[in-house]
Amino acid sequence: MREGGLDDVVAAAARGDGDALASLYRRFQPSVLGFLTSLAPGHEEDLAAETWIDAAGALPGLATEDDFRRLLFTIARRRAIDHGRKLRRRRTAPADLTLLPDQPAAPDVAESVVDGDSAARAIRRITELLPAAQAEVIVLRVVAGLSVPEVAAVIGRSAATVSVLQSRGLRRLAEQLGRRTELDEVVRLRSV
Amino acid sequence: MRANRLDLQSADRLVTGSVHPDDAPPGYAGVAALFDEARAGRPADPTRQAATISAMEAAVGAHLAPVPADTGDTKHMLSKVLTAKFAVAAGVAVLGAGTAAAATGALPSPAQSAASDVLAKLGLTVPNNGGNGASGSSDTTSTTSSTTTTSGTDTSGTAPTGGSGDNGDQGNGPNANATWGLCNAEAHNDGHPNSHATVFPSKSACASVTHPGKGQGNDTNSGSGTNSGSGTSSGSGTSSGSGTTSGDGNETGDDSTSTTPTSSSSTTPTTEAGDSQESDGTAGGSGSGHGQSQNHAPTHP
Repeated sequence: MREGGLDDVVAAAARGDGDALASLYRRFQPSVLGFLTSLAPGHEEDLAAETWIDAAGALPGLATEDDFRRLLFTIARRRAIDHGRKLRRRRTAPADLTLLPDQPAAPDVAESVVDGDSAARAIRRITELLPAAQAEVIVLRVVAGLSVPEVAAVIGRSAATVSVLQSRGLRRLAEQLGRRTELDEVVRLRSV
Repeated sequence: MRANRLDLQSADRLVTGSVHPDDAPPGYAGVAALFDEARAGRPADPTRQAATISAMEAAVGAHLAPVPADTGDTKHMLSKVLTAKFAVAAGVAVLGAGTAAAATGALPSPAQSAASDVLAKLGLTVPNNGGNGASGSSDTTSTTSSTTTTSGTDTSGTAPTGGSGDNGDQGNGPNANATWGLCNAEAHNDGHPNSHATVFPSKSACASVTHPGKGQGNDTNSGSGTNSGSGTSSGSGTSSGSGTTSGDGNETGDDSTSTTPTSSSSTTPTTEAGDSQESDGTAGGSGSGHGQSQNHAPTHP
């Protein structure tokens, strides 16, 4: 049980208490959005809403905050995976915008929101620099705040595998960020 | 640049935000700063929040609602189909078994009669034990009579007389005639004891046996009633029986004249007469042959 745990809140929410449900939502929604941003960028809001509704349906069988966190991110991950499968089935060929008549370019709302959010930008950076498995483990550990065993339960792998993926991800991030930093320094020196 | 590998504790501190970027291990300062930025999260959309929480309340309420008890009305389709099939199969099996039993005459008399009536309407002819004599219509009666005769049980050919109820010998059933025939044979069989002749009743039993036709006052000529009745059954039985009676010698003029010719001309006389003569001379088919043939059967089992 965590310090300042939400076991009582989870129990109240399981009984259908609206305030408890709102409390859980406010507490975990940012991390759910961050996790879904790493898996399905641009669709995290819709997927998060579906995740919460599904999790609420399973609440009556839960007793502790840890149970709820595991369930919540497990549902979010599966929702994101299902979303990716749907996108692959409904694959479309985007039209070449240069062939269309000149029109004022409408700003991409989702893109602007994501770009305007430093957290989302940081998460997107992580997913760009790391392989999917390592990025998933790092995001669950950093953004969702899950422990190694909890991450293992969510992604369906062993704790040892999670530890290895985490270690490799950290090292790779450090290398990639260091390389970027060096390149930025070189560019800065040349410009001077 | 090759980053140093972190131990587990350092890695945990880094991912959980316990390490400030300035205090991060060499090469991991940028990672710590990136994690701090990612961990900040972003506030939930207030409009979505209200709608989502309402949906969550509905979802929890739906799961908390008591599940209606199974009233039993919602049977599985499979069980319904299987029940119907079983009922049909059982009905067909019972019907088939009943028909077979009726065809072989194995049913009890009332059931056999009912089955015969029903199946007759369908064009099927089955034995009708219950209607024996009453209807006078079935061949079974004839068969039964001739069987009785040939079996030697009554030995005399008299049995057929009572075989059908429409004979003149009403009140004198086949047992009476058979007993009379047996006793008659017994009487004529004296002097030729044979261990196989166990069928004969004792003399004390025969002492009380009277002629079935005697005392009735009805001549077997009523056997003509046989002929008037129906077909095969009546004719066969009556005729033989009267033959026996005549063979007895007591009432020769009475019976033989009346019945024998009648029966002979009917359907089964050949079987009856011949059978009687061969199986036991007592019956003697027609009264005339009685004296000669009586010794045959007992002495040559």
